[in-house]
Amino acid sequence: MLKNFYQNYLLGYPKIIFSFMVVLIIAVSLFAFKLEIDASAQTLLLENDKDLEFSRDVAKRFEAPDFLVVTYTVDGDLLSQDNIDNITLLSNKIKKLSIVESVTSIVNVPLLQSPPMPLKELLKGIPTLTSPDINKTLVKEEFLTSAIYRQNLVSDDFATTALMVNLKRDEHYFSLINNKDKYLKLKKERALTHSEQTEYKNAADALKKYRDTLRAQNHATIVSLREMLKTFMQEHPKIKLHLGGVDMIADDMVEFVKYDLKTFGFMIIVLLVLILYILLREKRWVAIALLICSASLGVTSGLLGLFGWEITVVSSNFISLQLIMNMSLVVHLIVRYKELHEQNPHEEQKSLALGTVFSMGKPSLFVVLTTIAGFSSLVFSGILPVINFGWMMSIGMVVSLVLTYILFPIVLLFFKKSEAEQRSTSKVSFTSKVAYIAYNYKKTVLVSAFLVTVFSVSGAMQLRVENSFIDYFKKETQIYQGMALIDKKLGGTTPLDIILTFKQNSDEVVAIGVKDSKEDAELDSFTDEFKEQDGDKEQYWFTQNKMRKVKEVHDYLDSVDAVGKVLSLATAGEILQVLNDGVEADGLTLALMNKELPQEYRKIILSPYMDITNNQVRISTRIIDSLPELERDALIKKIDADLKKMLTPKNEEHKLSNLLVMYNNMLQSLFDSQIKTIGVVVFILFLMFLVLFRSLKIAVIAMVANIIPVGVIFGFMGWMNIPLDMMTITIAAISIGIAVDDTIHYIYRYSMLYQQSKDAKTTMFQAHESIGVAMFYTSAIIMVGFSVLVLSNFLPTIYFGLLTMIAMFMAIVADLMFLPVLILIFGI
Amino acid sequence: MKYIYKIVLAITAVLCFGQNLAANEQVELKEHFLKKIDEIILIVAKKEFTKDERNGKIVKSLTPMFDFELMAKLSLGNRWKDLSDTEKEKFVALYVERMKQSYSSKIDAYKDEKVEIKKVEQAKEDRITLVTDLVSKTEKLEIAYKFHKPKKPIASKDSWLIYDVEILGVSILKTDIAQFKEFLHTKSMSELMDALAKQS
Repeated sequence: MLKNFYQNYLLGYPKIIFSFMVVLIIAVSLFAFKLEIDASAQTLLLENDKDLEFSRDVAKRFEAPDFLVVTYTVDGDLLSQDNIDNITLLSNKIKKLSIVESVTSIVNVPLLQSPPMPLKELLKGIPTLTSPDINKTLVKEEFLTSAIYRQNLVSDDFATTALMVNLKRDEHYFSLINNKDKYLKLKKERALTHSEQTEYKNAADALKKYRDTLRAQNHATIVSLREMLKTFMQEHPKIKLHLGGVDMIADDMVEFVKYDLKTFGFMIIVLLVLILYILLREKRWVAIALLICSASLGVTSGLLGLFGWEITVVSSNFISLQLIMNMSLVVHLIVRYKELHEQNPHEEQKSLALGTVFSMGKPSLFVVLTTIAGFSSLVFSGILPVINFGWMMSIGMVVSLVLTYILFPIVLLFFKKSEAEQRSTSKVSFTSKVAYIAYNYKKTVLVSAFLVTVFSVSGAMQLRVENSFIDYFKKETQIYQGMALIDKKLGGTTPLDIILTFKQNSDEVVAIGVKDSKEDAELDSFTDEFKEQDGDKEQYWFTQNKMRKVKEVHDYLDSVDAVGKVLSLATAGEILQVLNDGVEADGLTLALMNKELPQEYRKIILSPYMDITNNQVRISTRIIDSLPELERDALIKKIDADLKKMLTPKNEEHKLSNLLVMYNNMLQSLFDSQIKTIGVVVFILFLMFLVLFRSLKIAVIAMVANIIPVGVIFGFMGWMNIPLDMMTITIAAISIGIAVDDTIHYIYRYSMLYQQSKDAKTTMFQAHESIGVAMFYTSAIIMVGFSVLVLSNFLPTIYFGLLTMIAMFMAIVADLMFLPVLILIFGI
Repeated sequence: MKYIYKIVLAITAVLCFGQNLAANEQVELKEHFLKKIDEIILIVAKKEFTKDERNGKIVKSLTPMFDFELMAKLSLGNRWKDLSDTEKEKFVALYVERMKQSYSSKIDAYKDEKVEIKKVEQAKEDRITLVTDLVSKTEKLEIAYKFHKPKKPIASKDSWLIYDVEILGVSILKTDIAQFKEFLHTKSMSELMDALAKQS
């Protein structure tokens, strides 16, 4: 039936069908303009993550704004009038940016110890660096020793200072998030009504729309800030400025991914064209391959745009992947056509086209089905971007298969049949040589496979799961240097907060009505006066008890190597102690400080660290990301466990929060969803092999031949110390997808040929000579194409290129050497 | 912190007059208070005293004006009633000692400030509040002294006794109540007494 369809319709009216297809492809591709690339790390934060909700809540209640950091490095005296003027000038410029709330720098922070004076004096007017008669020697001393400023605002060598650029909190954005979450929560409890569903959709759309505007605005600000710093440096050649902060890193990552997608996407295509031409020697094959691949990519991107799916960090490799898979489909068809043409030089073009399509149809269908099986396992991950990636790949594969099998035979008809290539008998193809090696050196092949397995297993055991943003950039890049400077000298990068909740007194209300003595009667006459009144809770909230607990936790965190700057109420406590001649501040001093500290300084010293209404304190830290061998998951677990030991659950509770926790959650769930589902993927593939080849033996052989090349990827990453992070973690699914294709093609052709000759050796040589060539071409084309990625400045792109090359290389080696040896030994 | 105690010292001194206040209690209390302040200033001004001697004299002078015992009881809130007699006695002793220690350590911070009485409030027959300003060259610091008149006069004490001081609206006693309440929420009474003993 399908053959009739092809013969009577598709190839019967090639021009009409082709024109129709062109219109359809263009129409769908137009939606590709709606496709959004959102490679920011935030897209990966688990939307239903309780920690995310908690972190947002914490950011709101503790008035802890997002911030960027500008570092200012100078050779001479940081406190010279020139530098003070420059910092003031720079701050004023930065403040003009619309998303900036304020800029905190050495120029405007309160100086509490220059000179140290009683709190009472200090509260009258806290000096800053610009106050008249300020003693700069004391100021320098304060910056270098103060609990709040050392290694935070200034580096220990006093050559670098930070300008903290506090960003405005966008209430509208958070209200949109809350609005959407409201429906999300409701949805978990019960099915939404029709109108609620509409409202939920509207809320989600509104949020997405606003978020996009916001992100564009943030990006524009970062760009203009960079520009501003650049101009400033040109005007002041002695000053070195760097931009840092988590928001900047996130923004830069998006830019790097976008840039790489554009630049290398194009370069890959150029290289593919080149190598296609070198291998196939005819322009028309290049044109056909390019036409089909672009059509598939266009249609898939259009569909994604139509569905509103965004390309995220996880799926940023999607375009390259579809290109690989599609190229493989087309090259197999080309090679098959050439084979058939060579065998039947006088056959009509139409019948050659039909023969090509029908002899390759079944294996291609299975290649696509197995790939979909591999990627569709991602659908069960529960992480939206990963689920979308699964669907994207599945849709992409179907589109590739359909378009390739419609367009290839039609386009063939437009070309005149060329002269059949007469291969000279003396010329032995490369794959035949490989067949010769496989046949004559079976033991060597098996021993090598064993050694490779040992390499893979030993390497995989060293594999780390780690998110280190700083390691995404090459050491010589500006962005790395800026990040490293902040990380090492100004207190670390990724924020981690500890939120301590002091449990409320539940036994406050005790019967006081019984007056059993005169003394009690007199006491009771004071009861009303000392009953807790409005505002008392706030006024008398500071107690030595709380401060000591905070200090205990603060000091503990300070003692952890990977933790950089720690800031909390204990910081204010320490400053008070210095002002109080080294004596710990008592309850009254604390209460007075709480009441009398001017709002502008309160915002720096107190508000970010306490939430009296909820009886909570926040201990804010930043993790030193550049620390080698830092294990974030283990660190979080260790801190959590240590705090558990340190606190009494009856009295205090603790919770870890902020980006470190969220990124870790994300990575762990990616790890769970991708690595742990490999078992499921392998099982599904095994079942599919079983269906395809109808032999348990072949299914097992095919699996073994696939697992070894995939294992090499993990072995390589382990030995090279490349961590599995949110960028590299998809490589597992990818390499399986790549490896499986060649195996199916080879076994399918082998069994077809074996039925004719019934001789293993002949069959193997024939298979290598025919399908082997197509497999080799495909692998070579893709390997050369992806080699260009190593030129990137963004390490995840380099890794992706490198790992894809290795996956391709190992897959082709396994399928042309190891797989035939296994088949020769165990039979088919 | 320091300023609070300076004021406390001053006030205490004033209270020595206590016995004869009757008809115009408010006026008399005011005068008594100011005199006591002068007395303290005199002690501070005398350079021949060692620090310990001076502090000892000031504490001695102020003690009759303060109802430390009442403050001790009130600072514990409802928990006071749960204590045994021995515990009550021990707690009061520790609290009083802590108070004395605490303000003698602050005397050094006293400089050229003057005390001015801003207003006198009498909410009840047996309660008077003196709202004062501690005036220095550059600013004023509001301090309110809360007096009560015990039904039965206490031996060696004034008739009007300070039971709380509020600095800029922050009450010393309420601060203690908050501190102790929280302490006792997580720890025992004997631990609190140990902590107080350590402080003094």
